Amino acid sequence: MVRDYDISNNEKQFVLTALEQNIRLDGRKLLQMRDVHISVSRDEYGYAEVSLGKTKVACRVTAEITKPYEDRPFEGIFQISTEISPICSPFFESGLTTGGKQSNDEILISRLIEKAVRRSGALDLESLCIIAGSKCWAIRADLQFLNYDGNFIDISSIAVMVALLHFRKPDMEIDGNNVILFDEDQRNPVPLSILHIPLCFTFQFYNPNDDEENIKGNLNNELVLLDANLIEERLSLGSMTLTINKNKELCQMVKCGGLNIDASMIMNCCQHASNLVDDLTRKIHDVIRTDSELRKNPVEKELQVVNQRET
Amino acid sequence: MSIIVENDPLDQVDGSASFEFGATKVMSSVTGPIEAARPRNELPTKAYLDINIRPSFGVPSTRETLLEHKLGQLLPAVINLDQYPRQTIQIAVQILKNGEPNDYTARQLVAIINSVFIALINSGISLKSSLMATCCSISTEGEIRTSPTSSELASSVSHFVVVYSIEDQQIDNLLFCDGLGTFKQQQLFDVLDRAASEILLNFQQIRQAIASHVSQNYVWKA
Repeated sequence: MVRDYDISNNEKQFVLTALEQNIRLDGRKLLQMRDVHISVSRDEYGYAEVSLGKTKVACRVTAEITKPYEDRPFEGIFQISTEISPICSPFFESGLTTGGKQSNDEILISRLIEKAVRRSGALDLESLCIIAGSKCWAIRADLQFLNYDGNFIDISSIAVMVALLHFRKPDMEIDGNNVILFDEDQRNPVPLSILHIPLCFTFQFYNPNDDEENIKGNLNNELVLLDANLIEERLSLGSMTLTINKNKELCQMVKCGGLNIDASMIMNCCQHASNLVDDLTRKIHDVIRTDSELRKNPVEKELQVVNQRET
Repeated sequence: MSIIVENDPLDQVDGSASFEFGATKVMSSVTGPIEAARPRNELPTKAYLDINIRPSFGVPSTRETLLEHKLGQLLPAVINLDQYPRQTIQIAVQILKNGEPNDYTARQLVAIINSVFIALINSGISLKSSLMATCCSISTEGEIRTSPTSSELASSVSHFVVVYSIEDQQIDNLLFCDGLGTFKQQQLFDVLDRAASEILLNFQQIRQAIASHVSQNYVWKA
């Protein structure tokens, strides 16, 4: 049994006092994100490694043909699996040692990602239908948490979206009731139909005053932090996750208890997130575009130039 | 074969390493010696090895359990388990890229063994000797290939995973040999010889990676 990550009182006070003076241990501004580093696999489709500071996550997307759900014959299946293995930190114990019981963190993360990506309709499920009621694509995104330094939620949403954008499923043809799948050499595999790119931004709240001021007062000087690292996340008094896309649509807002925050501050957070989402979306598109450029073979490139359209 | 080793990429565990060769990539972490999570795992005379392998996609199946079992048979031969009585050594492995058809585990097993070995060194667990794994395949023409690619594996008649212990930069003992398919006795001996020379060659690279990591860790001492 590994003990939880302990923070001494001195360390706690040091971090909190620094935050009150707008200083973070890694030298960032309070509302500044860590650098996002995205890399995708060159040899295969649907694999992305994303790191946010020291936090690191890999995501792999796979597809297979199955029978659709009875009540949804025109839709494909999309699953996201988020199981935290002890590799990223020994205090996440494996499901096997705890008798299959998931930790609270794990459930929270998987539900947030599920809501952000799946239920916001990022992936067009109807395009995954092959033969209504009998055959459809089942897309599965496996998140692998590698290193933990806070903020799993934001990085997971990035990783899932990059892997989905990077993924290509084999091309196919329907002949009556038979489905013919084509090899990569026969026909170019086709990308998934992604309707929008929802990205999560998690804010942490801290209270420099006492509880009474927080509840009754009008000062509104609670501290708001974006993209907290491990120690900041542990000391936080409440968190809020916003899911937003490039079209400035708010797909999800979750604030489960914690510190009382004024509505105007929440509006400010939304505004800030909508400024960040453009840069991040552009970064994701850049990575995907560079990868597809590198994959084109020279002859094909020559032939495609005529029909090239900028996406 | 080009090997890419990353030392201690993970912060929250005692030792970790990622091992990449060709299209296969595996990341391993070692935590320990720690207190046993369950009384049942508390062995009075030696440490308990808690091995956990996670596949690159899908949920862990019998395939991963078999790999865990193979690793569990190999590791007690090199770890000084009796030095840590009543403790647990937790080994977590994440397969990142299979690099071979789903019915095969040879390339993954090689990457798992090598990455776990480097992670064990980084974690400071007491070891009896160095070890290294490699895989070979025999093609339909009877030709032996070391570190076969995905397509070479699929077209081979048999393939092997071979692990040798290494002492004083010389091959010492055969620790593990796992062959699948049809082969003759002489072919097996040839495979073992080829694997030994391949391991000697590649071990230099791993040794260098570990040496540069150690010198980086002790940069304050110079």
